[in-house]
Amino acid sequence: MSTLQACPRKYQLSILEGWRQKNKSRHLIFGGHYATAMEHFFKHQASGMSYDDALEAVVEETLTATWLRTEDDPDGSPWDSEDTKKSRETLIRSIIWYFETYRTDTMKTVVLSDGRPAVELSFAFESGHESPFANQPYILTGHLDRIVEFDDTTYIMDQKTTGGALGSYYFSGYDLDSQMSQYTFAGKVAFNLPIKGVIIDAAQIMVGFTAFGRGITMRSAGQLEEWHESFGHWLSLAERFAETKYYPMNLQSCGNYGGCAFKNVCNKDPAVRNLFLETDFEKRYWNPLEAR
Amino acid sequence: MSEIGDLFAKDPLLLTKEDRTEIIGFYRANRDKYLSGGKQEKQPKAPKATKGAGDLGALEDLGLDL
Repeated sequence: MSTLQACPRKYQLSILEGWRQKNKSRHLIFGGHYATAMEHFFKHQASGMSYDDALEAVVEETLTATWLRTEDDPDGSPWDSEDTKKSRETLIRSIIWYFETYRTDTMKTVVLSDGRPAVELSFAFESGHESPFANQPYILTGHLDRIVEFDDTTYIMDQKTTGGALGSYYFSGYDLDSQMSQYTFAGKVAFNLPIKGVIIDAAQIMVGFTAFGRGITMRSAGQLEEWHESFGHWLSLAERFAETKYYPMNLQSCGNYGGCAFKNVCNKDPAVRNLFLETDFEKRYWNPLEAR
Repeated sequence: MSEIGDLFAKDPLLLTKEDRTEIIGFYRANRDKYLSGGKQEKQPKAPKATKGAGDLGALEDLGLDL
């Protein structure tokens, strides 16, 4: 939904048609390994592993996951991000520093009613809005990094990595973030927990250090109701685009987050756009109903 | 004691528990030095990093709650 809100054309190309960059962004690779290490550490701890053993396990897993082997090079070599900030070494450093920083953390992972630790949870439930085309409810799907308890209150915790400073400007950006509203809504509906909002657990990755910061973005019942209603209107808009088979570009979004991946496709003449798309992208469909 | 860069250059399947403990210990000490404002040990350079990777001086004080 946030992709549709950012740009209907980007939504068409990436979500509906499945175009993905052939060379995955180093930021996505770095963030993915970092999030996986967080997830596995908390799962190891929940299974009874000591702090030191869980840390060693995720360091081993991450070193192995970032050692790339191919048919031509069965011995493999380390992942080269070509970025001094987000490299294999700063990844390992950030993971170790994170757990050292929060070693005595008072935030505890919630244990679900079925005994599972609330870490990396997939959800899918009827959204409360119905598709007039298929005459069936829209399903709201997604993944939550972790659900925690802090000061007798329950929150979603979401891990972020960034190259920018972690000041109030960074965290306040999440107060009007649709994804955070969706997470809060999903935590309440799918897991039947009294979620009050999302704790943004952010890491600023620099060449010589990693800094950590936390911010909380709360959602009241009224705000969630408003978000849910707004969500329905965006669905109606998506239906209209589907009916007309036309997804306009939102030119105001092209420069967001360092530039849209499709910028160098959209800026070409429509007659040659597909050539550029097929050169730099490949189709990999994402199934939102597939659990991680 | 191995150079930390050598450990990063080694196939992770060949790393021992001691090697991994050494990596963790290196970054623990590295963090302690960062937090105390001291000069850190030189970190392993990323492949093809021609400048900047080992430059750990003059870190900005970001005033963050760590």
